Amino acid sequence: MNQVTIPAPQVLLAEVTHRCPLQCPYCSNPTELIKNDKEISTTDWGRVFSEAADLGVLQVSISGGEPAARRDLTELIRAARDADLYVNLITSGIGLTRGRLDDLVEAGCDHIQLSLQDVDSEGAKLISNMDRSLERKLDFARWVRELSVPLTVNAVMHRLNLDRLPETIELALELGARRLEVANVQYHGWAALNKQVLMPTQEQSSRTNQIVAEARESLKGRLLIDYVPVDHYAEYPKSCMNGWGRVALIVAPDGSVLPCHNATTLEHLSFPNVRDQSLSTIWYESPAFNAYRGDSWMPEICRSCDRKEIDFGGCRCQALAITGDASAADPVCSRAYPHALVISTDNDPASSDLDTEDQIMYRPNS
Amino acid sequence: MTVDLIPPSVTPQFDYGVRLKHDKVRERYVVLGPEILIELNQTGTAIMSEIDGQSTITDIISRLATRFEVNQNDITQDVVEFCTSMVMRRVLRT
Repeated sequence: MNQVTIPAPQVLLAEVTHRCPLQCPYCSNPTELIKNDKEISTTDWGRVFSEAADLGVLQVSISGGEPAARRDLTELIRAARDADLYVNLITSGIGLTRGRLDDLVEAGCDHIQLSLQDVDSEGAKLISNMDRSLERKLDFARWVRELSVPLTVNAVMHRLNLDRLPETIELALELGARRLEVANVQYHGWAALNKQVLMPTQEQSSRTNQIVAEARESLKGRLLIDYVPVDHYAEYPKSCMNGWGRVALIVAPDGSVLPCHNATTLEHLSFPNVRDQSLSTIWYESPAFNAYRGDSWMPEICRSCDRKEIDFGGCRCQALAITGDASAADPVCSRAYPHALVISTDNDPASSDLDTEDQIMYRPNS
Repeated sequence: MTVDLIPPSVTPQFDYGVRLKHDKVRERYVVLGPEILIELNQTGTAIMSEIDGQSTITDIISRLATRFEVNQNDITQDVVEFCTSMVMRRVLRT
């Protein structure tokens, strides 16, 4: 048994609710949404923030669902700041009035990340399943800038909007964003259910790589571009969550603590709850957080691989979903699977002819 | 890749939403910002602690030289390069 040194966590993702006014078919929430009446209280969150800070967490991202669906969002932000955490708010911008935004900023919100479904109004409606969602987001982005709060635009990209990437970059500049995340959909959970509609073609994917590379160069010092490529077209796994239980932890709306968004799909693990245990005990001692730390759980091909310190074995949820074994090598890995397991097990999305609107499976609002 | 260095006459300040923090758990200083978490070494900490939005880089170099009892010329290049890299990462603005 290898002794694993467990680093203190740096980042807390506080998923304060799963409720959301939008219904994006790639939502990163689990397909089994946590109901309103299971959400932990303002006081519980206050304790989570202060325990997290004591544990070594430096940044919290308050996310959802749509965090503004919680009436106590201002108090949550204030509690996080009181614990001396850096507070990122991850929002759709829908459901926040100008007055409420003023309160959030006054309470100590340091940075706002706004999700963007599409630069095209119709495209945004198709994904969010809400009329005028784009227009409302644009208003919201302007208010953020008026308050001199740094803005990140998180553009979630897929087959239906990737061809508008240049316009997306333009819009981020126009809105005065300091960062743009060009984030390709990760095909887990809801997105996996909608893969046939959303998965870009290989050609779109390579063109995106090129557009991003050029924009990064030409916009240096003006706009930072973070890029999440299409996982399935990668040669090697991504470093999922920067390694299981290494850097970040997620607290779900009901207080359960997870090493990644989709960890609840790993049904053989039971996830501890902040209502029963301290965050410190959960991070250092729980079987769930220790399950995929280090390399003793890895198959031989990973344990002997020089990339194990780069990707930490990749994604456990994807391994389970595609191979049926959560400890298997990440299905994306071209070393473990020379015959492109991921692509060959799916239909080639480029060849399917779809009536898009009928095919989309939206997530419900709550 | 080469980058143009910023002139020592500018007055740097923390960009919006960026701040310096003492990380008590790991006993070090860090810069926190939007998706930014930079661990500072002793040199970085010394420079960043002098950023007050009032002092030029020249002022900062002069104070650091006094504080650490070194020749200004010996640290000018390092301080200017460090501040330039912080501007490129939008940690500082001028």
